[in-house]
Parts: sequence; structure tokens; C-alpha cells
Amino acid sequence: MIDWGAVGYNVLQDFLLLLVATGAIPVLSGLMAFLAIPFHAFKNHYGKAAPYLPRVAIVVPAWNEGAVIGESIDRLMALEYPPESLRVYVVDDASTDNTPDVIEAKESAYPGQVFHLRRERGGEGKAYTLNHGIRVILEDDWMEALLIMDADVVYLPESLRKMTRHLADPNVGAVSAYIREGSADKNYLTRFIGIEYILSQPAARRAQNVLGAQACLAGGAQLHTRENLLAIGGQIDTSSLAEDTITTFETQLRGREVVFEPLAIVHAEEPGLVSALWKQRLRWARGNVSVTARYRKIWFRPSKMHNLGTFSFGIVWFSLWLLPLAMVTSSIGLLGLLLLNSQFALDVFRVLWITAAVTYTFTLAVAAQLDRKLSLNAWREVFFFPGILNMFVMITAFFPKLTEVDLPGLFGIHLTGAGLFIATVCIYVWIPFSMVGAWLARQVERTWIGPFLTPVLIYLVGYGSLLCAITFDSYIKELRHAEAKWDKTEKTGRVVV
Amino acid sequence: MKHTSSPQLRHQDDGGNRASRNAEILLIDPQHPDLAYIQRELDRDRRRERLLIPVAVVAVLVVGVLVLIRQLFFV
Repeated sequence: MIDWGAVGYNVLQDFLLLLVATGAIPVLSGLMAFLAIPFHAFKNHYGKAAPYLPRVAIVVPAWNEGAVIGESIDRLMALEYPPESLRVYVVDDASTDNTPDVIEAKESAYPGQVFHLRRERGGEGKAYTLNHGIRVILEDDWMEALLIMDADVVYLPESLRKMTRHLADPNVGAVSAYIREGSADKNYLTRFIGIEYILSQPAARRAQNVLGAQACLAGGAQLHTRENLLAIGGQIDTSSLAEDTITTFETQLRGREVVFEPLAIVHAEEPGLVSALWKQRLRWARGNVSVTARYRKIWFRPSKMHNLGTFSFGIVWFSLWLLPLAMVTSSIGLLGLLLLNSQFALDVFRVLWITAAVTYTFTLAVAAQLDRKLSLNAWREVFFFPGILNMFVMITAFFPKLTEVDLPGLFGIHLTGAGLFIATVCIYVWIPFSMVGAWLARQVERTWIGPFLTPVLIYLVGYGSLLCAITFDSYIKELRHAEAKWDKTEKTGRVVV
Repeated sequence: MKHTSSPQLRHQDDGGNRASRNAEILLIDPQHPDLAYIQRELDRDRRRERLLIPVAVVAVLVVGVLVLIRQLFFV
């Protein structure tokens, strides 16, 4: 006779285990990607690269960039690149500050090299501004490669040369560089962003070079061949907030390679306030929603033309996009298992969080070595990147005796069964609440206590939880069909080299 | 107006690898790095990528130390 009670129990336990496993997928995907990095020592594009200095047209979208555009143009003119093979087209998107005056002064200073293009109707978004410049550039056949950049970024002198060498391979359609956080007046947030950029670029994009598919060309540093630009329609997509990602996908879908060059370094100014970062990343996250929907027919469908449909790329893409959901479902699963079978829940918790601790340690140890100077300047942010409270959860999983016996013992506390249960519940459900903490950090930022409380909250909940909270906000905005509009991040010219 | 490249950068369209098109580039000033220099830089950068292996080994060692501490003192 079938014991329906036991069957129901097993089914429920398996279902809860499945929920917990959703939290393990992003962790394992991150570990897989970072384990691919050392293979870049052998599987890279340098073997097919060669000295190559094509005629490069640089298109710079500028809207009220008076504070930064002059310096940016001077830096471009000082690039270690043949000046006769370099032209800068600054597209002034109906600026209302002194941007046109600054560009015109530079146009006079660099005749035949700097061009001022004015849009009288502005504010439609970066893609529209870029397209205005690209239309002019494509009117003749001078341009052999097109560099798309932001007005505030500063290229290190050798960076363009290091990018163009990959275009010597006719299979390459586009090359991206390492956008490095370069604010002179760094604060806790720009230091966190600096670490995030090491993780996501010289680390993760090297892995994507190895896996053969790039998720996104950096908006501030993407170099296209003329052939590639024409193949993708001769313009940048204007239907989404993720035009960089769409350009990257379209390039690869046509069978051309996208290469990340980690040694071409470009400095950029990043937001110093959580509210500004939230605005920027919400735009990115909502753009990713549209990309995921637009390319729904390529996911997990391997193709001979490109590697966007491989299992590894799909897992990496969806792990990042669905991470906040995975955090919530994983915590629900853990809590359910705790109520159903506390010993089994404890074992599952340990496996999940020890894996997370090992992955975090490995990835941060790799990242810190990939950009030692920036990591040394931001050593606190490297150490506390996961968040102090998340680290406590990891330590609880890794060294249970330490947090459950030794630490309380120092204060003369001995946890009872009930106390231990409550502490366990708190630890299991902490992750979704860490996103609430990040949201709170943004809410209090503009209040009198914000300058003190916001950094404290971010250190406690972790920078990753902040990004997850923003992604979660993008889900809500999408479900509400909130207007998706171009919202420029304010730049003040704080970049240094 | 059609633009043409400078004499130093003018190349033959041989239809093959684009690198071969640059055979005429001459070093005329610091903003004109010569092909040999760029090739040396490329070779150096390629060799530099091999450092990723010790980087990964160090990261594995850091994880190993954590696991060792757990096994020795907390299990």
C-alpha cells in the first residue's frame, strides 16, 4: 500500500531542494566563468592579431558635456596613433551649456581632425545622437574603423593601438576595451564600482573571450570595422535602452567575432551616489530585459554561426539577470526545508553557502591580482565586497562552531535550542532582506543621516545586494510597464589618468 | 568630398589579412609607432597573459588555506 504521507513529504522536500538549487546556479555559473580565466593564457586572440593602424573615425555623443569634452578631445589627439588616421566627430545633442563653444574651439585647434556636428532636436537618447554622427561618417569611404565612446572617458595613450591590432583578423567585427573607474575623488561607492568593473571586465570578459561569446561591448569603448557597421545596418539600434548589447549580439549573430582587449585601458567617471548609480543601472537592467526578450530564439540553441546559443553563455546571461529571483526562491526553499527537516536543511545550507564562500574568495582573489593598483587602493571594498552580514552568513556555514558557540561564548551567551532556531531562520532569510537594506540605503541618502548611514548600509548588505535590488526594481518597473526613457548619468570631469 | 589616406598609410587592397596592407607604414614621429614596435608590444602582451596561470594558482591557494583552517580547527 502506498504511504501517501511519505510520498507527499518526499515530493515537498524535493521541491524545496529545487528552490534552494536556484540559488546555487548563479554561484556555480560564476565559478565556471572564473575558472575559465586562466585558459585565456592560451586561448586568446593575440595569435591572430597583428600590427594594424586603420583610419579611425571616433564618434563622441555629447549633451551638456562642457566640463569634460575639451579634455577628452585633447586626450584623443594625444593618442599614440597616426594623427592623419584619426578623426573625431563630436555630436552635440542640442546642448544648452558651453559644449558647442568648447567643441568649436577644439575644431579650430585641430583643423581637419575634429568636427562639430550639431543636433538641434536633442534628448532622444545616446543611440540617436550616435546615428547622427555615423550617418555623416559613412557619407564617404575615409573611415575604416569606427570607435564609439562617451564624452567623459579618457583613453590611455596606447589603448586605441591595442584595440586596432585585433581588427587585422578579418573575422573580427568589433573590439572592446577595459573601462576602469578613474575618478580623482574616489569615495566608497566609486571604489566598489572599481572592483565590480575588474570582476566584470578584465576577469569576466576574458572568460567570455575563452567561451567565444561576448555579452556586451563597453558603451564607452567599442571599435567596429566599417564592414561590421554596415552589416548591422549602418546604425545603432534605437528601440531599446541596451543599444550596446544589441550591437554586440548583432555583430556575433552575423558570424563576426567580438574581442575584449584587457590591456586597452579607458578611464571613466562613475556615480558617487547610490541614487545616481540606481538610475544608471536601472536603465541597463531594463535594457537587458528587452534584449532577453528580443533574442528569445537564440538562448540555449547552439549555432554554427555564433556562440551566443551555447549552454555556458546562456547560464551566465540568465544567472545575472535572474539573480535576485534566485536569491528569494533559494531562501524560501531553505526556510521550508528548515521547517520540514532541520538537519537536512542545515546540510543543504552548508553546501550552498560554503560553495558561495569558496566562489567569492576565488573570484575576489583573482580580481585583486588583475588590477593590483586599483585593488590596493580599494582593499576595504575588496574585503567587504560581499557585505559584512553576508560574510557572517558565509562564516556561519564555513566555521559553524565559531559563530554558534565560540563567538556567543565570548560574551557569556549560550544559545538555547529556540535561540539557535531563531538565529538560523534569520540567517536563512537574510539574503532577500539584504536587498531591502540596499533599497533603504538609497532612500536615506538624501536625508541628514544619509552621508553616514548609506555607506554603513552598503558595507553591511554588500555591493552585490545593491545591484540585485536595482535589478529587482527593474522587474517591478517592467511589470508595471513603466516608461523606459533615456536618462543620462551626470558627469563632472573627475577622471584622472 | 572623398577623403584619402596619407601616403604613409596608403595600402594595397590585397583582399587578404588586413595586416599585410600596412606594410608601407613608416615611423615618422612618436605618434607613428612602427610595425616592429607594435609587433614587439603584441608579443609582450601575449606573453603577459601567461601570468593568468599563477594568478589562478594563488587564488586556489587562498581558498585552500580557508578549507585547511576549517578542517583543522572547526570540524
